[in-house]
Amino acid sequence: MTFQQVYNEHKNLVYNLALQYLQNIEDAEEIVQDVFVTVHEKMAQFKEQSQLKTWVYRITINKCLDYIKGKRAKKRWGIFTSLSADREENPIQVSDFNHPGIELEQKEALEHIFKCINQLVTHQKTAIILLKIEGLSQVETAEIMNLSPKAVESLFQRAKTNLKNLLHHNMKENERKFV
Amino acid sequence: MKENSSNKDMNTTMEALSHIKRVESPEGLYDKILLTIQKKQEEIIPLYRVRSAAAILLFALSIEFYAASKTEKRTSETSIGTLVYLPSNMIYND
Repeated sequence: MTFQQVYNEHKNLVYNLALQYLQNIEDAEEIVQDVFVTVHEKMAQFKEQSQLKTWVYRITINKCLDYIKGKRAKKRWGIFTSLSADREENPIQVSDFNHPGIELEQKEALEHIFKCINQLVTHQKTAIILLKIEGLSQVETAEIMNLSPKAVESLFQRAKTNLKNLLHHNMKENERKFV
Repeated sequence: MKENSSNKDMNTTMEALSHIKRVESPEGLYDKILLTIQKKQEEIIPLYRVRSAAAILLFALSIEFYAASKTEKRTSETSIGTLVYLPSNMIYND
Protein backbone atom coordinates (compact mmCIF):
# COMPACT_ATOMS: atom_id res chain seq x y z
CA MET A 1 0.00 0.00 0.00
CA THR A 2 1.44 3.39 -0.95
CA PHE A 3 1.50 6.35 1.42
CA GLN A 4 -1.16 8.14 -0.61
CA GLN A 5 -3.45 5.12 -0.40
CA VAL A 6 -2.94 4.96 3.38
CA TYR A 7 -3.73 8.69 3.58
CA ASN A 8 -6.88 8.46 1.48
CA GLU A 9 -8.15 5.49 3.43
CA HIS A 10 -7.57 6.94 6.89
CA LYS A 11 -7.74 10.75 6.56
CA ASN A 12 -11.36 11.03 7.71
CA LEU A 13 -10.79 8.62 10.59
CA VAL A 14 -7.86 10.69 11.85
CA TYR A 15 -9.61 14.04 11.33
CA ASN A 16 -12.79 13.01 13.11
CA LEU A 17 -10.92 11.39 16.00
CA ALA A 18 -8.82 14.54 16.40
CA LEU A 19 -12.04 16.60 16.46
CA GLN A 20 -13.44 14.45 19.27
CA TYR A 21 -10.31 15.07 21.35
CA LEU A 22 -9.76 18.74 20.54
CA GLN A 23 -13.19 20.04 19.37
CA ASN A 24 -11.45 22.58 17.14
CA ILE A 25 -10.94 22.56 13.35
CA GLU A 26 -7.49 24.20 13.24
CA ASP A 27 -6.10 21.95 15.98
CA ALA A 28 -7.54 18.85 14.28
CA GLU A 29 -5.92 19.82 10.96
CA GLU A 30 -2.57 20.15 12.70
CA ILE A 31 -3.00 16.70 14.24
CA VAL A 32 -3.83 15.17 10.86
CA GLN A 33 -0.58 16.55 9.44
CA ASP A 34 1.48 15.35 12.41
CA VAL A 35 -0.09 11.89 12.29
CA PHE A 36 0.58 11.31 8.62
CA VAL A 37 4.13 12.65 8.79
CA THR A 38 4.72 10.07 11.55
CA VAL A 39 3.00 7.37 9.50
CA HIS A 40 5.29 8.21 6.60
CA GLU A 41 8.39 8.05 8.83
CA LYS A 42 7.44 4.78 10.49
CA MET A 43 5.70 2.94 7.67
CA ALA A 44 8.77 0.86 6.95
CA GLN A 45 8.94 -0.20 10.61
CA PHE A 46 5.28 -1.20 10.77
CA LYS A 47 5.55 -4.95 10.95
CA GLU A 48 1.83 -5.68 10.83
CA GLN A 49 1.73 -6.79 14.44
CA SER A 50 -1.68 -5.17 14.47
CA GLN A 51 -4.02 -3.91 11.78
CA LEU A 52 -3.01 -0.72 9.99
CA LYS A 53 -6.22 0.98 11.17
CA THR A 54 -5.42 0.13 14.83
CA TRP A 55 -1.91 1.51 14.39
CA VAL A 56 -3.21 4.76 12.89
CA TYR A 57 -5.75 5.07 15.72
CA ARG A 58 -2.96 4.69 18.30
CA ILE A 59 -0.74 7.31 16.65
CA THR A 60 -3.68 9.74 16.44
CA ILE A 61 -4.65 9.26 20.09
CA ASN A 62 -1.05 9.76 21.25
CA LYS A 63 -0.64 12.89 19.12
CA CYS A 64 -3.91 14.34 20.47
CA LEU A 65 -2.96 13.64 24.08
CA ASP A 66 0.52 15.16 23.59
CA TYR A 67 -1.08 18.21 21.98
CA ILE A 68 -3.47 18.65 24.92
CA LYS A 69 -0.58 18.31 27.39
CA GLY A 70 1.38 20.94 25.49
CA LYS A 71 -1.60 23.31 25.47
CA ARG A 72 -2.11 22.89 29.23
CA ALA A 73 1.56 23.62 29.88
CA LYS A 74 1.33 26.78 27.76
CA LYS A 75 -1.77 27.87 29.71
CA ARG A 76 0.02 27.35 33.04
CA TRP A 77 2.95 29.43 31.84
CA GLY A 78 0.55 32.03 30.47
CA ILE A 79 -0.87 32.58 33.95
CA PHE A 80 2.58 33.65 35.21
CA THR A 81 3.21 36.01 32.30
CA SER A 82 -0.28 37.52 32.60
CA LEU A 83 0.29 38.42 36.27
CA SER A 84 2.95 40.92 35.28
CA ALA A 85 1.21 42.14 32.12
CA ASP A 86 -1.22 45.03 31.86
CA ARG A 87 -4.93 44.09 32.02
CA GLU A 88 -5.60 45.49 28.56
CA GLU A 89 -3.13 43.02 27.07
CA ASN A 90 -5.25 40.14 28.32
CA PRO A 91 -8.67 40.29 26.66
CA ILE A 92 -11.44 37.83 27.49
CA GLN A 93 -10.65 34.44 25.95
CA VAL A 94 -13.12 33.33 23.29
CA SER A 95 -14.14 29.67 23.43
CA ASP A 96 -12.12 27.35 21.15
CA PHE A 97 -15.12 25.08 20.70
CA ASN A 98 -15.57 24.66 16.96
CA HIS A 99 -16.69 21.12 16.08
CA PRO A 100 -18.17 20.91 12.56
CA GLY A 101 -19.91 17.61 13.31
CA ILE A 102 -22.23 19.23 15.87
CA GLU A 103 -25.47 20.91 14.84
CA LEU A 104 -26.08 24.47 16.00
CA GLU A 105 -29.04 23.52 18.22
CA GLN A 106 -26.89 20.96 20.04
CA LYS A 107 -23.79 23.15 20.29
CA GLU A 108 -24.32 24.60 23.76
CA ALA A 109 -25.28 21.27 25.33
CA LEU A 110 -22.41 19.37 23.73
CA GLU A 111 -19.92 22.11 24.57
CA HIS A 112 -20.88 21.61 28.21
CA ILE A 113 -20.60 17.80 27.88
CA PHE A 114 -17.19 18.01 26.22
CA LYS A 115 -16.01 20.44 28.91
CA CYS A 116 -16.71 17.66 31.43
CA ILE A 117 -15.22 14.91 29.22
CA ASN A 118 -12.03 16.96 28.97
CA GLN A 119 -11.75 16.82 32.76
CA LEU A 120 -11.71 13.02 32.83
CA VAL A 121 -8.43 11.12 33.10
CA THR A 122 -6.86 10.13 29.77
CA HIS A 123 -7.92 6.47 29.63
CA GLN A 124 -11.51 7.21 30.63
CA LYS A 125 -11.76 10.02 28.09
CA THR A 126 -10.39 7.69 25.38
CA ALA A 127 -12.86 4.95 26.33
CA ILE A 128 -15.83 7.32 26.01
CA ILE A 129 -14.61 8.76 22.71
CA LEU A 130 -13.90 5.40 21.09
CA LEU A 131 -17.00 3.57 22.38
CA LYS A 132 -19.66 6.27 22.29
CA ILE A 133 -18.57 8.82 19.69
CA GLU A 134 -16.53 6.72 17.27
CA GLY A 135 -18.94 3.82 17.77
CA LEU A 136 -16.27 1.15 18.04
CA SER A 137 -16.95 -2.19 19.68
CA GLN A 138 -15.42 -3.20 22.99
CA VAL A 139 -13.09 -5.62 21.19
CA GLU A 140 -11.86 -2.95 18.76
CA THR A 141 -11.41 -0.44 21.59
CA ALA A 142 -9.52 -3.03 23.64
CA GLU A 143 -7.14 -3.68 20.76
CA ILE A 144 -6.43 0.03 20.30
CA MET A 145 -5.94 0.65 24.02
CA ASN A 146 -3.99 -2.59 24.53
CA LEU A 147 -6.43 -3.77 27.21
CA SER A 148 -8.76 -6.72 27.61
CA PRO A 149 -12.44 -6.18 26.63
CA LYS A 150 -13.40 -6.61 30.30
CA ALA A 151 -10.95 -3.91 31.33
CA VAL A 152 -12.46 -1.61 28.70
CA GLU A 153 -15.96 -2.32 30.00
CA SER A 154 -14.94 -1.50 33.57
CA LEU A 155 -13.06 1.60 32.40
CA PHE A 156 -16.13 2.80 30.52
CA GLN A 157 -18.39 2.31 33.55
CA ARG A 158 -16.00 4.34 35.73
CA ALA A 159 -15.84 7.01 33.03
CA LYS A 160 -19.63 7.21 32.90
CA THR A 161 -19.88 7.58 36.68
CA ASN A 162 -17.23 10.29 36.77
CA LEU A 163 -18.81 12.09 33.83
CA LYS A 164 -22.22 11.99 35.56
CA ASN A 165 -20.68 13.55 38.69
CA LEU A 166 -18.89 16.23 36.68
CA LEU A 167 -22.03 17.14 34.75
CA HIS A 168 -24.01 17.35 37.97
CA HIS A 169 -21.30 19.44 39.68
CA ASN A 170 -21.02 21.84 36.73
CA MET A 171 -24.78 22.21 36.56
CA LYS A 172 -24.86 23.21 40.25
CA GLU A 173 -22.02 25.70 39.63
CA ASN A 174 -23.96 27.29 36.76
CA GLU A 175 -27.14 27.50 38.85
CA ARG A 176 -25.18 29.24 41.61
CA LYS A 177 -23.85 31.81 39.13
CA PHE A 178 -27.34 32.76 37.96
CA VAL A 179 -28.82 32.99 41.47
CA MET B 1 -36.33 8.71 41.94
CA LYS B 2 -33.34 11.07 41.82
CA GLU B 3 -31.16 8.22 40.57
CA ASN B 4 -33.65 7.42 37.80
CA SER B 5 -33.62 11.00 36.57
CA SER B 6 -29.80 11.17 36.68
CA ASN B 7 -29.59 7.88 34.79
CA LYS B 8 -32.02 9.29 32.25
CA ASP B 9 -29.82 12.40 31.92
CA MET B 10 -26.79 10.18 31.40
CA ASN B 11 -28.56 8.22 28.68
CA THR B 12 -29.48 11.50 26.99
CA THR B 13 -25.84 12.58 27.23
CA MET B 14 -24.59 9.34 25.71
CA GLU B 15 -27.15 9.57 22.94
CA ALA B 16 -26.13 13.14 22.16
CA LEU B 17 -22.51 12.01 21.85
CA SER B 18 -23.38 9.13 19.54
CA HIS B 19 -25.24 11.54 17.23
CA ILE B 20 -22.17 13.66 16.50
CA LYS B 21 -21.74 13.61 12.72
CA ARG B 22 -18.65 12.44 10.92
CA VAL B 23 -17.22 15.09 8.61
CA GLU B 24 -14.89 15.03 5.61
CA SER B 25 -11.32 16.13 6.20
CA PRO B 26 -10.45 19.44 4.53
CA GLU B 27 -8.89 19.60 1.06
CA GLY B 28 -5.26 20.56 0.70
CA LEU B 29 -3.96 18.75 3.77
CA TYR B 30 -2.15 16.12 1.72
CA ASP B 31 -0.04 18.77 -0.03
CA LYS B 32 0.86 20.34 3.33
CA ILE B 33 1.88 16.91 4.63
CA LEU B 34 4.11 16.27 1.61
CA LEU B 35 5.70 19.69 2.09
CA THR B 36 6.45 18.92 5.74
CA ILE B 37 7.95 15.54 4.81
CA GLN B 38 10.11 17.19 2.14
CA LYS B 39 11.36 19.85 4.60
CA LYS B 40 12.26 17.17 7.15
CA GLN B 41 14.22 15.22 4.53
CA GLU B 42 16.16 18.35 3.53
CA GLU B 43 17.13 18.97 7.17
CA ILE B 44 18.77 15.54 7.44
CA ILE B 45 22.54 15.84 6.75
CA PRO B 46 23.66 13.25 4.14
CA LEU B 47 25.86 10.45 5.50
CA TYR B 48 28.73 11.05 3.07
CA ARG B 49 29.07 14.63 4.38
CA VAL B 50 29.26 13.38 7.95
CA ARG B 51 31.93 10.83 6.97
CA SER B 52 33.99 13.45 5.11
CA ALA B 53 33.83 15.84 8.08
CA ALA B 54 34.89 13.03 10.44
CA ALA B 55 37.82 12.07 8.20
CA ILE B 56 39.03 15.71 7.97
CA LEU B 57 38.76 16.09 11.74
CA LEU B 58 40.73 12.89 12.35
CA PHE B 59 43.41 14.01 9.90
CA ALA B 60 43.69 17.43 11.58
CA LEU B 61 43.89 15.81 15.03
CA SER B 62 46.60 13.37 13.96
CA ILE B 63 48.70 16.24 12.51
CA GLU B 64 48.19 18.11 15.78
CA PHE B 65 49.35 15.11 17.84
CA TYR B 66 52.37 14.57 15.56
CA ALA B 67 53.41 18.24 15.84
CA ALA B 68 52.84 18.22 19.61
CA SER B 69 54.93 15.05 20.08
CA LYS B 70 57.83 16.63 18.09
CA THR B 71 57.94 19.76 20.29
CA GLU B 72 57.67 17.60 23.42
CA LYS B 73 60.84 15.69 22.42
CA ARG B 74 62.82 18.95 22.07
CA THR B 75 61.61 20.28 25.44
CA SER B 76 62.32 16.96 27.15
CA GLU B 77 65.99 17.05 25.92
CA THR B 78 66.64 20.48 27.49
CA SER B 79 64.93 19.50 30.70
CA ILE B 80 67.44 16.64 31.26
CA GLY B 81 69.95 19.31 32.23
CA THR B 82 67.75 20.34 35.13
CA LEU B 83 67.66 16.76 36.43
CA VAL B 84 71.48 16.44 36.42
CA TYR B 85 73.41 19.05 38.42
CA LEU B 86 75.87 20.93 36.24
CA PRO B 87 78.25 22.98 38.42
CA SER B 88 78.71 26.58 37.50
CA ASN B 89 82.10 28.32 37.91
CA MET B 90 80.62 31.77 37.77
CA ILE B 91 79.44 32.01 41.37
CA TYR B 92 82.28 34.22 42.58
CA ASN B 93 83.77 36.95 40.45
CA ASP B 94 87.43 36.15 40.72
